[in-house]
Amino acid sequence: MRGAWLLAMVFTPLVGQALNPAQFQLLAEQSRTAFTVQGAGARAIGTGGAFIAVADDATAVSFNPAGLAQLLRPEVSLVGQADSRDLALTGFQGQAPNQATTFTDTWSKNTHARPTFASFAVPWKRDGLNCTFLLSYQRLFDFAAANSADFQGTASGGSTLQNVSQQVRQSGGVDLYSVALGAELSSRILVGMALNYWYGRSGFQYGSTSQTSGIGVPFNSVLAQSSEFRGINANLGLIWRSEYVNLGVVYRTPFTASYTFTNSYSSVDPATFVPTAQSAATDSKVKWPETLGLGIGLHPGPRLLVTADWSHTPWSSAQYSAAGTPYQGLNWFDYQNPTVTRDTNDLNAGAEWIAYIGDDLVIPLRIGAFREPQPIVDPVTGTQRVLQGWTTGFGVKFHDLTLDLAYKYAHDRRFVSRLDTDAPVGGVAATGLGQEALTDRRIYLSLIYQLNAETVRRAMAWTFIGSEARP
Amino acid sequence: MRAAAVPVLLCCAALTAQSWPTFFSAYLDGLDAQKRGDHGLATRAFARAIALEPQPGLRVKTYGLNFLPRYFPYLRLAESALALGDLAGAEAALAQSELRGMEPAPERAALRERLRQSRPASAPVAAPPPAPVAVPLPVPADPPPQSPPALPVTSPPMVSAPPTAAQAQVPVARQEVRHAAVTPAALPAPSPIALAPTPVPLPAVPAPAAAPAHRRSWGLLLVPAGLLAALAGFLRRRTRRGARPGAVTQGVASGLMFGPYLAKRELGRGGCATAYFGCHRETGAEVAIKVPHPHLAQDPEFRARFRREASLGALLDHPRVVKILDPGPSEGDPWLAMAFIRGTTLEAFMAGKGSLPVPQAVTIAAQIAEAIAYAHGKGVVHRDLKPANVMLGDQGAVVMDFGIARMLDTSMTTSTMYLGTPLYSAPEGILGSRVGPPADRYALGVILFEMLAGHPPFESETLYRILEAQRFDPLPDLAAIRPHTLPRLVRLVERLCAKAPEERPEDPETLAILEELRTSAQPPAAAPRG
Repeated sequence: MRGAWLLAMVFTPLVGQALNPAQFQLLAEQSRTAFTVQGAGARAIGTGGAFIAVADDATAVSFNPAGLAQLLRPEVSLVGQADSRDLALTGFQGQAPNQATTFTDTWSKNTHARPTFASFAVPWKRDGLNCTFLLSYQRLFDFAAANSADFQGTASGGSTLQNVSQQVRQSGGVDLYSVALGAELSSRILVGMALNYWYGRSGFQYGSTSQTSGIGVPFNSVLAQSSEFRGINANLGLIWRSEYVNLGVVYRTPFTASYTFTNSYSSVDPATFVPTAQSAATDSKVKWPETLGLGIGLHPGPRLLVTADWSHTPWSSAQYSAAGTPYQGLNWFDYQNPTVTRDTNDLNAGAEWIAYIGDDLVIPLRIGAFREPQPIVDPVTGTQRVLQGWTTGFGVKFHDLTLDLAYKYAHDRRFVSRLDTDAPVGGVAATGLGQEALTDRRIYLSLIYQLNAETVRRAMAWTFIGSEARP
Repeated sequence: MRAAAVPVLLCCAALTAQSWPTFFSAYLDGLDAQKRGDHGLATRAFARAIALEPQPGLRVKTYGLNFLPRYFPYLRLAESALALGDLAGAEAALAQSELRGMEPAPERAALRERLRQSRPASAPVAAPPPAPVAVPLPVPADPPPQSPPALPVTSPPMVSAPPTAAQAQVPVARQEVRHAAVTPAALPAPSPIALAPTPVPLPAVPAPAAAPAHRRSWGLLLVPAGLLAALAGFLRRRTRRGARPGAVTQGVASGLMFGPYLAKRELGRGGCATAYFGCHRETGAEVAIKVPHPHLAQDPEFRARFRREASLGALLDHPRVVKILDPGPSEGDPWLAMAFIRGTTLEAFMAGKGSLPVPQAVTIAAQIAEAIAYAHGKGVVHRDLKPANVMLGDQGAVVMDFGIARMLDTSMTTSTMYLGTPLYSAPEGILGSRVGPPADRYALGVILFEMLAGHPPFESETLYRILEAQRFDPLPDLAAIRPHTLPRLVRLVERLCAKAPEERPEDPETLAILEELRTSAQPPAAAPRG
């Protein structure tokens, strides 16, 4: 969903030869909430998303691959995620003459659920030191969304009334396929590396119907796009641990991804009834920025964990290019005003307390908070989206099975611009200014199952060696 | 940023020598090794687990949400030790298990039974202690529940056998060999089980070879001798008790009374005294009680000196000195009560190990230096400092028997003539001159040399030759024996072992150098918990 905005940002300027790019920016913003490059896992989200210094289950690959070295048993993990997002656009007023000056308030709600992470980790020992090999899949950004908005705009003086109905449908996402290795170097130091193959596909369809007073025929338009996104990068991780303190560092290398997209646009002119169609296919490159994350984990007692992360991503360095040169000197996020694209500094913090019940039941309770600024800047007001909120969660571990559940609440309110009417057709810039309130609720469910090491060893020996001989 | 990551990773790669960084990793590996029947690996793994997490328990947290439902490393260690035939190791592990108290008693009892059944088949290990004749009382040895000494550096704590039977043989045998002036040999005593792999010393120092093999061959000859001596000692003890009922002690149902102290069991018996483990009748405080043998206690000169030295020793109150809690009665048969230290003697600790890691040796030496510096400041000279008089307990090294050690030494007569422990004797003591603080420093130098080299500097088959060597032979080149030893450390040993007392460094200087060396040679600490 949030990736739709990315996709829109990438291809809109190219399409914008015929269409105003700003219109798609706003559409994209409406269809996404967060652009935080973060790992998956209900345990981590339950502690506010702070997991860089902890990273002691199979989801470690997405936070800090060094943490994989802490795994002592083969693990299979699955993570699912459900979103519910409410977007309210209220109090909008037109800003220019001859444009609609008042708008009806609109609210949209979108819900979606999907699997987001799966992994298989196999640890082994080398001279008593632990190493872990892992294969994983992670859906980093999901584009699936279906929004619709109906609103009414009244032109200056009330002479013109326009009823607009918009529908946005998105599909696809950006996935990471990772191969990772974590290793203990000493009692203090763990290192890890994950090699990620990024692959994204998206479908985007925008449909609009507008009925202007005085014109008998509604204006219909359809914009359809599809794209592919490919790239490779690495996550390098380091954890220093002691009895009471863990420190973690993760560095996600920058990379340049190939980006191919096609789009088509069709409309029917209400005056002439002449259909119009455009289409284009373009190959381009996207320079994805690096991310540096630092984390600290404190263990005041055997049952308590307190952890905090800081992550920095220089989004302002993100670029897309075509034919080897930066495309029109524009950056990625704010092509109207490249200088205002913001780098982001994410802060995450949380705590976990573990309760033991009986001989085999473990109940962890978690709470956390976060502040995740987004590189999104409104082209007119210059306000940045800053998601902040809290998380909570708990888990149940019984024998070899662990289930974790986390709830994440994020909220942002800011002064933004929006399209006045059926902008894609009119080719006009956003001129209405008002309040955007975004509430994002997410539920994460993780399942981790620890396998019998000997069984896995035998299976792997049979698979790769052809016998059950000890490798 | 990418450039910075490379040296970081390279530095990390240099630390790959350490294994089993977490106790749970070691413990789980030990369990796996047990299942496979690899008890050698299992004992090392369990020992490492114990070194990192000595406290057993239920539901011990490991990493993430994982925990060990049952962390019983001592029982597992005892199992593997039994499988290996290391009865002393098994006994020590069971003693620890009992001491810690968290491991299931029925399982421990079952293992004890297995241990008991195994003993007849391992006669040398289970042999009664050698006769006390001509054997100096080494230390107030530990009772069966014995804690592994936790040295401040990452020294490998040891689980050694309990003082009775097998364990007592290690120090006793060595002492006996040295005093009897026969070929150094070691009884086939159980090797202590290292609870942690030897840490990598800084700088990396290749350990010298262990003691020559020919030394061990003489141990076989001592087995029957020890058995005979033990039998003789037993008969003599029975005779004395029968001859002097209640003369020194008041017999009670469960033990002997020494003033307010109840002796619960005998810890060890030397040529001049018997050591008991006991407790205060009122407070229950645990003590070690030393009681001179009657033939000495009846000597007025000895009694006077014993009381005087014990009273002087009671004035010493320092963490590195075993406190004499009660110098005993001013009238009647003498005895004294001292603080009971759980652990093992430095002599037993070093037995069979060859040499110690540099940081460990320096730390122990520094702690001994602290003790003698303090005592010298109080006007007390030990005069018989040796590894058998250094206890390694939870708090590190502590020195015992200040003032009374030489009185209790078998070679010491009641006169001032010296015939003490020759391996650690300063030349001036041999000459009969009055020994002072420099003699203790000389002994410290010899002990430090032995910890680093794996053997004392002067060894011989004859007592006379050892004494001659102490007086005239140059100190063997420690740097050659153990290459790469810090030159400053080598120089300190040479100065401490100087023939002329005035050439040895004073206590403050010695302490300062050792502290400095300890700081510079400190290895990375082991990870406690994951």
